[in-house]
Amino acid sequence: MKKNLLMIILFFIIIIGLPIATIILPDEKFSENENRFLAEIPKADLISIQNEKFMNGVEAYISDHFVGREKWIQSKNKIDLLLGKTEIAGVITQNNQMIEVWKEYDSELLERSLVDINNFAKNNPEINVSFILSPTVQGVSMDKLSSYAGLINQEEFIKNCYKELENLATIDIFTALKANSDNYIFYKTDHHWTSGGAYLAYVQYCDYAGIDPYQEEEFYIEDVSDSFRGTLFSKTLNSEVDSDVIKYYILKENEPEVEVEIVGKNIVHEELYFREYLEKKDKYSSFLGTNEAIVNIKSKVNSNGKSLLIIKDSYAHALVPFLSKQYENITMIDLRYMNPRSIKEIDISNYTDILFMYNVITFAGEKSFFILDEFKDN
Amino acid sequence: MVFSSLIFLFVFFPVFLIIYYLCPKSLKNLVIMISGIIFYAWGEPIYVVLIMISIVVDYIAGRVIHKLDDKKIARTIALIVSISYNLSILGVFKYSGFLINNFNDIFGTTITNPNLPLPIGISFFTFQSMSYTIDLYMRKIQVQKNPITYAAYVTLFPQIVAGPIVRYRDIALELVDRKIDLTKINEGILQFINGLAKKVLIANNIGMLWTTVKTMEIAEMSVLTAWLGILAFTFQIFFDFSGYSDMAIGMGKMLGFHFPMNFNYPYLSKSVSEFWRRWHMTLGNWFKSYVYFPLGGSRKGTARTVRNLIIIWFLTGMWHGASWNFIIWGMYFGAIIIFEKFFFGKILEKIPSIFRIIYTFLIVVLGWVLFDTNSLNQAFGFIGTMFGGGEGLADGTSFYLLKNYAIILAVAMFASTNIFDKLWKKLMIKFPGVTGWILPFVKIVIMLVCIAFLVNATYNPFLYFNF
Repeated sequence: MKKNLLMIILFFIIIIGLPIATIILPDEKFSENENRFLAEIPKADLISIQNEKFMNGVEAYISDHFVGREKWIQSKNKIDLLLGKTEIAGVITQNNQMIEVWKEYDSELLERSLVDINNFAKNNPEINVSFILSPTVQGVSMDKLSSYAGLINQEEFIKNCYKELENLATIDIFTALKANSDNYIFYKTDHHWTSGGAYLAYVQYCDYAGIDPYQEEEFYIEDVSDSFRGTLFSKTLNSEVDSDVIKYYILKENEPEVEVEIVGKNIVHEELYFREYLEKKDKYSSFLGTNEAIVNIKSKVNSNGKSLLIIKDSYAHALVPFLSKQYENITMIDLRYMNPRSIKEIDISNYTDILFMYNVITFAGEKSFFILDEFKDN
Repeated sequence: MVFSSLIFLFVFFPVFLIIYYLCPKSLKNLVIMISGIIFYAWGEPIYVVLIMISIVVDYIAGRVIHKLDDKKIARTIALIVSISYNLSILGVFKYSGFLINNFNDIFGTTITNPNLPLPIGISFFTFQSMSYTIDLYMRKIQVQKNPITYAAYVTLFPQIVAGPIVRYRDIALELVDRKIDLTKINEGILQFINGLAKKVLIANNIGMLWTTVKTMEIAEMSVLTAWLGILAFTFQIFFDFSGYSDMAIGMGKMLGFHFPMNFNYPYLSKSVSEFWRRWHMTLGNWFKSYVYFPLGGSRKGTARTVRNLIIIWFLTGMWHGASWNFIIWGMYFGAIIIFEKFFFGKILEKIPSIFRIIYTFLIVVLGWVLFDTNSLNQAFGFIGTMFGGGEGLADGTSFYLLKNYAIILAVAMFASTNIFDKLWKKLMIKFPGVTGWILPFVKIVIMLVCIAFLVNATYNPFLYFNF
C-alpha cells in the first residue's frame, strides 16, 4: 500500500509542481541564448481557434517559459553525449572547439546566385568587382573531422564557385586560413571568424587591390572581452568549452577616426567599435553592430577618393575595421534587409570598388542575389 | 494534443485528474465527455463536429435498434445508417483522394481531388462507434440509454486519437460502474511512464536514424546503412505505437477502465500468423469479430477461408493508409499467412524457436520497407540494396550511423523483448522490499529524462496520427 502511495505522490508532485512553478515564476521576455523574443500569451478568438493559431500559441508559450528550460536542454545534451551522439543541435564539439556542421545546400539556388553575381559584374565593367568567400571552421578542419560522414568539403566548394564567377576577381583566402588553422582564427563558441582570421583575409584583399596592408606589428591588439559565448554556445548550452576573447586591432599610429552611419534608421555612431555590445551576450555585434540594410563607414581623415561597396553577410563586420583604415568611404549592404526604398539609396557609380564578402554557409543559402539587377548605374 | 507534450502532461492532464478525482461519481462521465471534446477540438477545432455527429447518430441508432427489437427490417436499417455514416466520413476524408486519383488514372477523367485534410483519429473513433451498433444489433451487449455515458465512451480521450480500439463491450460495465483504487492508479502511472519513455526516449531518437537514411540515394547506399535504416524504422514504429498504447492503457487504469492490450512482444513471434495476434491486437480483433467471422471465418471450407483472409488483409492494408503501398503491404502479409496456414505451418512448428523468431522478424522487416517507402520502385530498390544491390557492404556513413546510434539501437532491441521484464520479476522475488521502494524513484528519473527530451523537442511526430 505504502509503495503505491509513493509512486502516486511523486508522480503528482511532478505534474502539478512543475506547472505551478512555471506559473509562479515571472516570464522572461527575451532569450539571450536563443536570440529571440519568447512567446507571449496568445489571443483567443474564433479565428485564432479555428486556424489553430491559438493552440499553437499556447503550446509555444508553455514550452518557452517552462521552469528551468535551459537546464533541461543542457541535461538532454549531456545525455546525448553519453549515448554516443557526436553532433548536438548541429554542432560538433571536439578539442575545446565548437564546429557548426554543414552537410547540404540547395544547388539550384546556388547556381542562380552565381549567375546573378556574374551578370552584375558583366553589367558594370568600369568598377572593380571582387569576391571573398570564406570557409567556416569546418572548412579548415577537415583533417580533424575524418570520422564524420556527409560534411561538405568547403575547399572544393569555394574552388567550384570561384570557377563559375568568371566576370569578377575571386580572392583566395582559404590557403592562408588553412595554413593558420592552429591559430586563433575562428571563435570556439561562435560561427564567426576572429579578428585574427579577418586580418588574414585583409592581407589577401590588399594583395589583390594593390594596397599596402598594415603589418600585425603596427597594431595594438586590445583584448576587450574574454567572456564571449556565441551562437554555437546558444545552440548547445555547453559551458565546458572555454569562452572566447574579442580583440580589437587598433593602429599604434594614426588610427583614423571613423563615423558609422546606419542609413534609414538615422543612427550615427561616432566610434568604429560598438563597445556597448560588450556588455550584452552578442559581443560579436560590437563589430559594426547587427546586420542592417545599409551602413556607411566614413573615415574622417582619409580623403583618397577610394570608395568601397561591400555586399555581405556578418563575416564582413570583422573585416571592415581593417579596410576602414584605407578607404575614405565604405558602404556595407546586406541584401537580406533591402527593400525597394533602400535599393534606391544606392548609386553604384559612387564606388571605385565593389566587394562581395560571404562565408560559405550563408552564401549557399542566400536568396536575394536577384536584387543585384536593381542597382542602377546613374 | 499529443500525450508526449508539455501542454498535455502539465496542463490538460493534471487539471483533468484533479477535477475527475474530486467530482462525485455521478458526474465523472460528464467530465470525461467534456474533457474529451476539448481534447479532440484542440487538435481539430473544426472537424470536432464529425465526432459529435457520430455520437448522436450512433446513440440514436442504438436506441432504435433496441426499441425495435422485433422489427428486423427497421433495426437493420438503423444499423445500416450507423455504419454508413461512419464509413462515409471515413471514406470521404481518408480515401476520396485515393479513389479519385485511381479513377482518373483508369478512365482518363480529370475529376479534381478535393485534397481534404484527414481529421485526427478518424480511423479509430469510427471503428469504435461501429462496434457499439454492430454488437448491439447482434444482441451481444445492452443498449446505453444515457447519452452522456455513451458520449463518454466515444470521447474518452486516452484512446480517442490513436487507440487501442476499445469496443463498447470491452468497457460496457465499467462505463456505468467502475472502481478507482490506489493500486490501479499506481499500475496506471507505471504503465503511462513506460509508454512515455518508449515514445520519447526510444522511438523519437531511433527514428532520426531512419530519417537520415531515407534521404540518401538508394543506389549509393551500403548494405549496412540500409539495414541500420530499416531496423531503426522497425523499432521506431513499434515503440511509437506501443508506447502510445501504453500511455492510453495506463491513463485508462488511472480513470478506472481496463482497456485491452494492444501489443504483446510482437517481435518475439514465431510465425507471421502469430505476429498479427501480437501486433495492434485490437485492430485484428475488430476485423475478426466484425468481418472475418460474419463471413464464415475458417469454418466454410478452404476456398471460403482463403477468400475471407484475402478480404481481411486487403482491408487491414487499406486501413493503414489510402495508398497502394499499404494495400500491397496488407496483401503481402495475407499471402504469407495463407501459406503458413495451408502449406508450411506444420513444418514451421518443427523448427527450433530461435529460427522461427528470426524468420518472422525478417518477414516483418521487409514488410516495413513496403510500408514506409514512397513507391513500389523505391521499396524494391531498397530491398535490393539490403542484399548488396547498392555500393559495398559498409562505408563511412554506416560506421558514423553505427557510432551515433549503437546504444539506442541496442536498448531498443532488448526492450522489445521480455528480457527486462523477466529480470525485474526475478529481482522482485529475491529482494521484494528494496525493489518495491526503488521502482518509484527509477520511474521518476525516467520521467524527468523524458521531460528533458520534450523540452528540447524538435522532433516529436506520432506516426499513427494519419489514421
